[in-house]
Amino acid sequence: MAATALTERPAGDVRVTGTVWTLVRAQLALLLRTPVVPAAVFALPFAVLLVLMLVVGFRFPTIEFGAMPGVRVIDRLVPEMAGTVAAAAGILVITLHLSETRATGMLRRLRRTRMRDASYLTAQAIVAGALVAASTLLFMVVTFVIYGLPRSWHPLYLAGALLVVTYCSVSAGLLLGGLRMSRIGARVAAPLCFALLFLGSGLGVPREGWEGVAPWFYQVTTVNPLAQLNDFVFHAYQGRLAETWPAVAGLLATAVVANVMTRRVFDWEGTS
Amino acid sequence: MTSLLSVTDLSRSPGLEEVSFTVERGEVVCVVGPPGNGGATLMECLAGTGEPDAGHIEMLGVTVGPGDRRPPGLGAALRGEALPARMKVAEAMRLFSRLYGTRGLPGRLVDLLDLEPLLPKRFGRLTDGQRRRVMIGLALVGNPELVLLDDPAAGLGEGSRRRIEQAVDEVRAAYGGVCVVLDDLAQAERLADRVVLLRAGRVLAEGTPTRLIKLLGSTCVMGVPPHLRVDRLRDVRVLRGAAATYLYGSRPALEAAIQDLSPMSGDRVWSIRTPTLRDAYLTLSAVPEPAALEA
Repeated sequence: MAATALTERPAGDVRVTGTVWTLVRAQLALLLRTPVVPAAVFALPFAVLLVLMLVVGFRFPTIEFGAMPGVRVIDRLVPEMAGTVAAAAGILVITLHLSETRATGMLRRLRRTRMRDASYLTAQAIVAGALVAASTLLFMVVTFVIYGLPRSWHPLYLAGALLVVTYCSVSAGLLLGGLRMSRIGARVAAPLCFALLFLGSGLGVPREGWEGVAPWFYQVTTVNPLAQLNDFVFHAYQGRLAETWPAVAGLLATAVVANVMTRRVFDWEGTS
Repeated sequence: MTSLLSVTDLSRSPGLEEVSFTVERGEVVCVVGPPGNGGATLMECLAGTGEPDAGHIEMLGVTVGPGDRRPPGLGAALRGEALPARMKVAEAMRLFSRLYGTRGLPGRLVDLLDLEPLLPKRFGRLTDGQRRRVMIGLALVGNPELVLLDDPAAGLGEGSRRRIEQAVDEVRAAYGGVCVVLDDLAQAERLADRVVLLRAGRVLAEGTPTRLIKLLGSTCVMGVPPHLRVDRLRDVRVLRGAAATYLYGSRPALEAAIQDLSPMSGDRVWSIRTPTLRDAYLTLSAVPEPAALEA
């Protein structure tokens, strides 16, 4: 006797691309309803911009950088914020989302479907990429409307560099979020990691600005991964390869290693 | 014919010892025992969240271990599983039906579980009973051959409980197999084609509810307060419990017992009823070797 007439169509094979797209749509809808996500991805860059506008020296974002003729302060800030948002989307959003999904048993339930593990992880990366793209686009449109177009910029290079930063941060987020960790643990660990990266990258301020003000802090930014990535994004935005490219290459390699580790340690079950 | 679920000599310390049973097509098997008797541990092993010390589990022809993916023909609604609070029920239904490659729950199951009014709501805003119905709906959305349910109606009102039981019947009618872990013996009696009684992590007895009740060898049962002296009653079997003493026997024998007890109990009226699975469980738990009852 043929098994079950419960549903209108017997369960069949599900295409991988269809699965990823289904997951992306469901997760985007869910994340946009989660207050921390719009706050981290959309409100954060504007909040930083607002704060910087209130600080002496940033009241006139259209003045040119001393060391870089033709580059305005705001032109340095846009890629800086894009990089920071990529870090927030990868480390903060994905880690918190994974721990929440695991704590409710949703990960376990998803894994009982025909979905492949890689499809779920790919969907996370695509969701993070979409959030970064939307946030960067919004931030750029607003700043361009207010301050005008930069003298020179390379959107394609910017997109490529942002892809690198997003990949690195998503890899870190998947590894951190994939660890067997309680929801409270993730709520502490993810913001802490992001805060350390953000603070050590120069607090959203172009890090060259700290060289004269607080040399020790500038030294911190020279070893901060996010600062290196932000430099990379900024130089790509200007159509150049950053001097910090070896550090970025190292981070990319580390991200690949993190992917391999994620595959081994990712906790789907939430067992204790 | 291969069983949909085959559990063989499953042990996990503490709480589960050499438990074996099967679930066949078109059958509802209730694994039942009061809390703390191994049901939760068994479900952990079946779901893959707990690692058994010994024994093995075969689901839909595939041997599964802890952490292994369960076969896609399995649907499960386990205790402690939920959806993210901000996810809408309709979104979850759509997501899971697409991941399973089905067109979602058919209308009759949506009606049976009364899910229609819940579809636009966020999961976090549902009551406990509504959540349970949604989770069972999600367990069935993938057109499963085997369904695992972990005490699906515990603590729910009569309405939700009945709806869930009807949904289980629907799976059976669709020639699927259902394994329900329960601690409510009355519900197990209503639901089950076959019952596996658990006591202290061991299988106490297994069979249809009717067969297990027949093991009592009595047509009627009566509960009296534990302080009454019942040792002189004739033709009745006595089982002393903490809250009551149970008398088993034929209706005339119990009516005679009422007469004998009346000097001690005054005008109190005792009710004689037919034995239930709970009575069978109490009796089987009380005898040192339950197999002796069958002999």
